Amino acid sequence: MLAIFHTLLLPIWPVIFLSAACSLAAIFANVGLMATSAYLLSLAALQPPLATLSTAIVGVRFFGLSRAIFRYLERYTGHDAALRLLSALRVRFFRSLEPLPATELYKYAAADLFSRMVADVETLKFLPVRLIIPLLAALVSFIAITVLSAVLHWQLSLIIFIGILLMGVLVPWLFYRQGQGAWESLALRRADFHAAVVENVRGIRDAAVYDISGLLRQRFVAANAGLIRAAYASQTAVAGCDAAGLFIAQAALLGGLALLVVLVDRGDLAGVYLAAWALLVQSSFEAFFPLSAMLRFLEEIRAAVIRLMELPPPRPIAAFASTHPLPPPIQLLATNISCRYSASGRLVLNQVSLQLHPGRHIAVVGPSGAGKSTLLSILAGLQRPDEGLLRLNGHDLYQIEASQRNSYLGLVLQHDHLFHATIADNLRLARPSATDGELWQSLEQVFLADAIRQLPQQLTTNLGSDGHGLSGGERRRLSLARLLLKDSPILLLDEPTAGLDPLLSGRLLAKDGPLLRQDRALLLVTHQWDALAAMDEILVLDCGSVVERGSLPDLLNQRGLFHDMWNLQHDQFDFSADIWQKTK
Amino acid sequence: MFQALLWQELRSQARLMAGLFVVSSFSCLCIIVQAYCFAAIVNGAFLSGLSLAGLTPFFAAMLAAALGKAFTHRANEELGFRLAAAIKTSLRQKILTHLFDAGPAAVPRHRTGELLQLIGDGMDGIDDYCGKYLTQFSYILVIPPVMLAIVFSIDYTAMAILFVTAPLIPLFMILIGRWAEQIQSRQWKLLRFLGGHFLDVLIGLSTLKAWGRSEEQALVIARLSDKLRSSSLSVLRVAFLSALTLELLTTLGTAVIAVTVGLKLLFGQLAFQQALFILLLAPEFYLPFRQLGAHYHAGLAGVDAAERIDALLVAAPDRTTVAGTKDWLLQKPPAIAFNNVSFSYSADRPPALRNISFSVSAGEQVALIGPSGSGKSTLFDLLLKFIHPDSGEILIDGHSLSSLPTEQWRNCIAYVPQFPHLFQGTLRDNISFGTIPSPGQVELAAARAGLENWIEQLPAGYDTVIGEGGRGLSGGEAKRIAIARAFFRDAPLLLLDEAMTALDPRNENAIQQVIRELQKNRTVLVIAHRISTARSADRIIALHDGQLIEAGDFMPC
Repeated sequence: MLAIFHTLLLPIWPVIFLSAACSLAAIFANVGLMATSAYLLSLAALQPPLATLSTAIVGVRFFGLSRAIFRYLERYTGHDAALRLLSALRVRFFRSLEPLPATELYKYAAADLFSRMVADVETLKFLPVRLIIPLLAALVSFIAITVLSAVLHWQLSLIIFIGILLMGVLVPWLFYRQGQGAWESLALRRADFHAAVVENVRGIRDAAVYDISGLLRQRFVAANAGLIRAAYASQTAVAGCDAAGLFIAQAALLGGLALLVVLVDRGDLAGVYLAAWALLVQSSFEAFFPLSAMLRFLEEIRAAVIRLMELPPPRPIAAFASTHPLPPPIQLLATNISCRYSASGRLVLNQVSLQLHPGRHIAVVGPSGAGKSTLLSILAGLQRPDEGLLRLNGHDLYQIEASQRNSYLGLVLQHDHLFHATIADNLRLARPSATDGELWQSLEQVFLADAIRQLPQQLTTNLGSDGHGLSGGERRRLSLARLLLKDSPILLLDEPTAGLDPLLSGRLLAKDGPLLRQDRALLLVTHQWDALAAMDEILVLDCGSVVERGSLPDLLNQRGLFHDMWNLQHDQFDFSADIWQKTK
Repeated sequence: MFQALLWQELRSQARLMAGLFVVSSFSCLCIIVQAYCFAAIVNGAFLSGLSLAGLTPFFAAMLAAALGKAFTHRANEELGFRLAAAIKTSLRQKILTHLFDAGPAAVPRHRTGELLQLIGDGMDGIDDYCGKYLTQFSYILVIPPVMLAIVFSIDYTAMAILFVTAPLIPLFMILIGRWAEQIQSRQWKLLRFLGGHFLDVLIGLSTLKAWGRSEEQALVIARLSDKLRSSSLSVLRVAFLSALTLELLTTLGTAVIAVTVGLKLLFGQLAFQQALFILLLAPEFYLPFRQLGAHYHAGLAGVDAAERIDALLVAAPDRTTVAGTKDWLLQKPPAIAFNNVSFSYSADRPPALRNISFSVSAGEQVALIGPSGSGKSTLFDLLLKFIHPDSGEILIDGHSLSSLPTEQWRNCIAYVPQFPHLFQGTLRDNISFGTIPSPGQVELAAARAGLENWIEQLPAGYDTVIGEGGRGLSGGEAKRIAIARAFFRDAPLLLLDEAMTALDPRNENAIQQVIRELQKNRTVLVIAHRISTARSADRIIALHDGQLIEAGDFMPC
């Protein structure tokens, strides 16, 4: 854990030290301002000639001005450090996520885990500003003030030393320990509360019909009260720490003041310095007030780090045996592929075999959860099977270097992502060297060129997060255009025409259409039943096993699962049909 | 920092607000006592030659003031927390009451996420407003005026310096704040892009991998994050200026007072103790301004949260269903008639249903078909009394639906929605729903829904906890539980949405059989997705764009 931060922080330390130095200077400027002001007044009270005051006056003005400037510099450099750390954190976490299999990554995206990780990374970036810099500044001023006061009298030094130790270390530690249980129960109560709110909002229909709104409301009231009680307990820890710290600072000041009075009385200290010393003691405690705020932040950091640590460490770059370009025709042979869920050990795929070569077009169908997407990602080399062989022209697929492997396999996943970049950038992901002409050509093939010509910025249209610019179907076709631009000999497609109107998907999946060419192999996971007639072979997957395989007429004659699915599919109303559109 | 709804809530918490004011006043008193005693002690030891023993009363008073300050600090936080808790609870209650009054039709599925946020994390802004902004605001109401009055009684010049510098603080902060906002809005698009890029890449990582382009992205992330740093810093350079002026004004104010008072002291126009007293009060005078400046955004966050809640609460809370009073109970399957019924969700949207007329005789099985958005669900919502027709009338056995008591009417309906909600609780509770079942009743309903075997193989059986935080269920299982609920209720009218979850023939055909059982001896309206369902219905009603386009029985061509 610490080792990770050590590497991440290593290049940032100079900025952090600079910021801590500025912070320290600002603290000293404040101490200086109050002490020299008090000295100025004490000196003036003795009514000397005006000239004797001039040094003190200059001092007051200097400190008055410098404090604000040092604070500004501290903030600026502190945030510079935070943003540098953010950059390093992002790269670090990207490197740990990148090697995970694509199917795993897709699960993360679907469960919205990435948003949480990004938020956690954003929390961690404040480590320098909210923890390291104030801690460093506090530590150095602690030493400085103890040493400085020892010059006057060791007892004064001792009072300050004990005061700061109590206020800065012991009290926060005690309250942190007290708060820990509270923070944990707060997380639980928060989950209860969320569940109660979800029921009251999402369940509103069922609750109204079954007359249980009153019951749900009671649950909500209880959950809300529970949440507030838990929040109160954790708040008490921080507030108590603040109040106790405040009192200790004041008490230490009183002790220091009493000692100073004794010193003046005994003649060990000139009276003119009394006020200055007293204010010096008072204002030196300033550096230690942010410590209680650190408590809360420490808890946030802890939670964020625990969540992020669940990720695997970054993977070392693997060395591949370099392979020569494979001679066409490219063939992909899968023999007895099996794959299990890592958690339960249940089979996702059981002994699946198939062969792809140019002109061979295979469809995979089956109920959801049958293992179709897993099969596709294994064939694409995104995920390793637990058993079985995968050979590309006789070579083990996993022994071929990733970039080369990728040049043979063209893949469109079910949830192909389009990035917040221009249409051209999104297309060139497939082939960075493609000319505008080639981009247009690929768009023509998926019947998208006309729609894009209508856009004011055409190929340079930015695809924003709000999805403006292109409709869902157009975005899907853009993914297909990207695939065609790559021109791979083997295409692996997961529901490529989902959400497209039947006419268009029919044209895309027609025999000798853009996706079913005789010089390419195709594996198609689909619910597009009209497309099946054009396929050479259909694999019916059920619970990971191929239960039926053959051409469309063969399968319908078998009267098995495929036949039932076919009937169920054709028993559904198709409201996209012409008759429903005409009345519009 | 004023917002009507927030103000209304604060007014109803008058005692806590008064408490804040009292605590601030007490805190002010402690500060004054402390500063006074401090000045008196230094003066006594320095100029009057007093020993520690002679100054004991001042030390005692200072210790008391120190305790008082710690206490007020704690009390201030406590009051802020209680204020926030009370207001959050009240606002949450208001939102839920509003939702309940407006009815389920006002909570479309696509908006539930937004609502959950508003009731949950959306309230954080209220915490900030009460806990950080208001607590500091109560100090600023008390401390600066009192300090000014005290300094005024000692020295005009010092008072004048304080009086002039104080208003400059908010002035400069606002001016610089606006400047920073301008710079930020100029860079907003770029900053948003750079800030969001990382998440975009992560979400698209599976795609990048598929293209073999993922490894090089680490470099792109590093490059863009660096760009984010430089452009963020260019905004922060200005944004931090407002804090700079704030600090500058307060420290320079203190410095100027020190020099001015020092010179007066030199010329004998002021006593040392008074001069030191003023010097000690000066930073305390400025402190509330500094704190309020630091928590300015907390105030904004609260106002923002309150505004969003206000917008929700204001939005037409018309309870469109009319609660009838007739004493009435349905014993047998009812006949239903729609007479020229129209409904629109709002004036600026096309009507969801237009002049719909049809009738269903007692015990008839009717299938509703039509593309999504054609008005099928609206028709169900009308029958469930979630909404009320704009014009026309719905008759149940000849009685107008609006004259029937809502709860009793709903008790006569078994409803199987498209997305049944599973509540946090046991399977048993989710089937029996609030009523106390007689022994074997739940088991019977589950058995008729075809859930028996599945439930019995669960370790906790009928006591298995489902819903949020409980066992996850597949779409098919959830559907069967909704069907079990309908069997359990055994009502004479059945409203059923047939939507399919997965293309799994075994599961779908089994559910189909169970539903056929459920339909017996009831008046049934089913939103049909399957042709066979429509075929087996007594009658089909086809809707399109809110209009009834065809009604009749299935005629195979």
